[in-house]
Amino acid sequence: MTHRSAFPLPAGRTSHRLLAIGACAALSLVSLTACGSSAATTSGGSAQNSGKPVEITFWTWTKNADKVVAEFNKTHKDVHVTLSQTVGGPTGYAKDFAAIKAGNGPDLFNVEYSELPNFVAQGDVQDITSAVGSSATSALGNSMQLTTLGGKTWAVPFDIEPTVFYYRKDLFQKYNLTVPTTWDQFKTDATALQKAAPGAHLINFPTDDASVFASMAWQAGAQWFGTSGNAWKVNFQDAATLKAAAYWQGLIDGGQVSTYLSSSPALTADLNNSKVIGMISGPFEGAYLKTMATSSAGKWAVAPLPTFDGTPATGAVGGSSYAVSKNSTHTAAAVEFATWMSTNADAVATRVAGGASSALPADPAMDTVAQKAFDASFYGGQDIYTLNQQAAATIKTGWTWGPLMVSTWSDFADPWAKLGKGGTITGALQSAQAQTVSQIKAAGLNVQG
Amino acid sequence: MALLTKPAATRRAPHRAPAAGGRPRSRTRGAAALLLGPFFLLFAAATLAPIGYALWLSLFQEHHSGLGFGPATTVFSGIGNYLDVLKDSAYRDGFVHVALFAVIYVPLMLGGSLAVALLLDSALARAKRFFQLTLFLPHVVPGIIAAIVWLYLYTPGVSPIVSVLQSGGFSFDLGSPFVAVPSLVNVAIWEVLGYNVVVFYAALQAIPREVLEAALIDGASELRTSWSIKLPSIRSSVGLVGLFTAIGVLQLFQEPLLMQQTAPAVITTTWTPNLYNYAQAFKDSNYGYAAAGSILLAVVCGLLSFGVTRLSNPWRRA
Repeated sequence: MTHRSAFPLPAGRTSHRLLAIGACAALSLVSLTACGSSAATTSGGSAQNSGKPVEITFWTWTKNADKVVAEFNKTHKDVHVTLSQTVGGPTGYAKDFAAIKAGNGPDLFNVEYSELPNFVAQGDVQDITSAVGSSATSALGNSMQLTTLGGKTWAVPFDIEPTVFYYRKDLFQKYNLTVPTTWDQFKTDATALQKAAPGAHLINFPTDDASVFASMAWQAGAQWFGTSGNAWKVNFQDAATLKAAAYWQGLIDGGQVSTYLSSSPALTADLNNSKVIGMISGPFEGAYLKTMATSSAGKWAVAPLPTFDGTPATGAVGGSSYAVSKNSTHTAAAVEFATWMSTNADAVATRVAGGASSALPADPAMDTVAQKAFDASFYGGQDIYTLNQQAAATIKTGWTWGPLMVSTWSDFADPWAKLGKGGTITGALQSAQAQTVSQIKAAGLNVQG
Repeated sequence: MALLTKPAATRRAPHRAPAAGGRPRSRTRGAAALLLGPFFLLFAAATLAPIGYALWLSLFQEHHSGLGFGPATTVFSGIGNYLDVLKDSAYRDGFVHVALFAVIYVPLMLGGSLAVALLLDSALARAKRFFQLTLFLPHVVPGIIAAIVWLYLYTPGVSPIVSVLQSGGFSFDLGSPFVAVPSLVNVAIWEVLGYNVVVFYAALQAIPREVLEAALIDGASELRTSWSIKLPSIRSSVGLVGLFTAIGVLQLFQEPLLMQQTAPAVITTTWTPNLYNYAQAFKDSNYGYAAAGSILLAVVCGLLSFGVTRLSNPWRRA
């Protein structure tokens, strides 16, 4: 979910090399894709012959996308991108699904890692294994795994979003709180804060977005989805998840965390009134928090996510990639643009300019570029990129997203909204699991659970 | 409002034509075909074709295999989707929700718009034009915009209304069904009341003035005239507006969709049948289900129209 997240960047290490890669990719497509329409194969090649750029469309919800696209168009003669700004989250995905179903999909669009399998299962995105050049693949390194399903690459990753802890440094000092490394300490802090400043909460537990909780279950070692042979395994109620559920339910019931919707103006007000003094989210949140808690600029800091046993570990919340829709007949051009956004310094700098994005680029070489472009004064000049990088290295392996996450997040929406109003996390997990399993079955997939 | 004047016009029309013989009639027919052609063309393209496509879609299910990372196959499932949708309690609950909504909304809407129309029509009314226009204005605002505006007015911390309520000691929590549903009713009434007032007012204006004068001479009060003469005379428009209102309620979509963003604990993702269909199509990519749900909804609307028409027919004869 994390529709607030948005993270595209652009890159442009050596545009002529990319060009060559693009051309090779186009050629290999000609020979490989027997299924592709003739338009698909001719567009890439002939456009380069005639000197007329290939026209592609790009849908994204990310900020600064207009500037990124302008930068790409200015520096590339072979491909011309037309941007369409969309909204993130379920509404945006609804639009993507509908447009692709109707044959009007964009060439390239933004998908988060959790939702990508849904588009793949839907047959809405193209296998771009052969279109992604080797230099991009090596630049993106392990991140390529995030967009590889069933041995095929379906999207170009842009960022990595380890879950971290944002907190008000000044207020932690004022109330004598210890920056928590364990969840026990976190609870002690929350309780101490409750006593010292009645009405204040350590963090808000968002009741419109289960993905933050998912990342904390992930951190605790949960595996909501897995595959066994040719079948999906679904379990939102494993020991690790239930442990995290009991922990957070306790904080909700004790009134130690607030339960606003993440988009609620009341949350923004509380962040500015020192009534909510922390936040759990991914690196992308850094840029959003900056625009939300304007009155406390310079007083925030970022720390790794606490854990149950004190050993550094985390999950991920959000993180997005660029996928080529099945409607596109310009696969090579779309992939060229996508890899440029993810691995070119120009692209990344343009994306981050003005502090529009604090996402941690998937390409490690881009981290310093992003860091240079991001104004970290809101965080008192803290080196948040290094911290996020270190956090990223502690993301627990073995987590898999399910095949119908757009549905699954929506299954969470109704019971999650009732948290703090009589609903329970375990109840929500139960009903979301039951619905997800029946949806997966209804789609004809094999499933156990 | 045009709906009211049209029947009268068509009723009168045949009287003009009959004198002419066969030839003029065929010419009339040609003209009718020519004039009606564009309508039927658009009707076919914009209404019949989508209904046909929905019917077609509703008979199929998409099937994947294994882990689902291969191509999907489309399987004919007959009435399978219809049965599944009917079996889904979330879909059925949607009808319960709109029924509850209707219980609050329909009487308020009909009563409110009748009362306002009667006030406007009464001899005592001043500045009629101004009030007509003012009342009608909200209808000109697109529903989605209206919902957004109201959403702000309902949001604590932003809304002046909520802060006045709160400073007066009233709590305003959209998380409570006793607040969220009436709030939704309020948006719907605000949007449509003025339109219905115009319909009723036009009908009231069509009542022969001599009848009203007779009542006046007989010493009937304004209230008595309204109750015993005006209301019975506009029964057919009341029936018509009732029909539109009921169908409108069944098709509730954009207001609850937006409201869901601030009151998700009450207005769930499948709160009305249309929201259910929307979620099926665009969140679950289950187009067959969504089509079946939509067709079933259309059938219910059709039955309801039939029912309301039957109910209001005796009035029309009166």
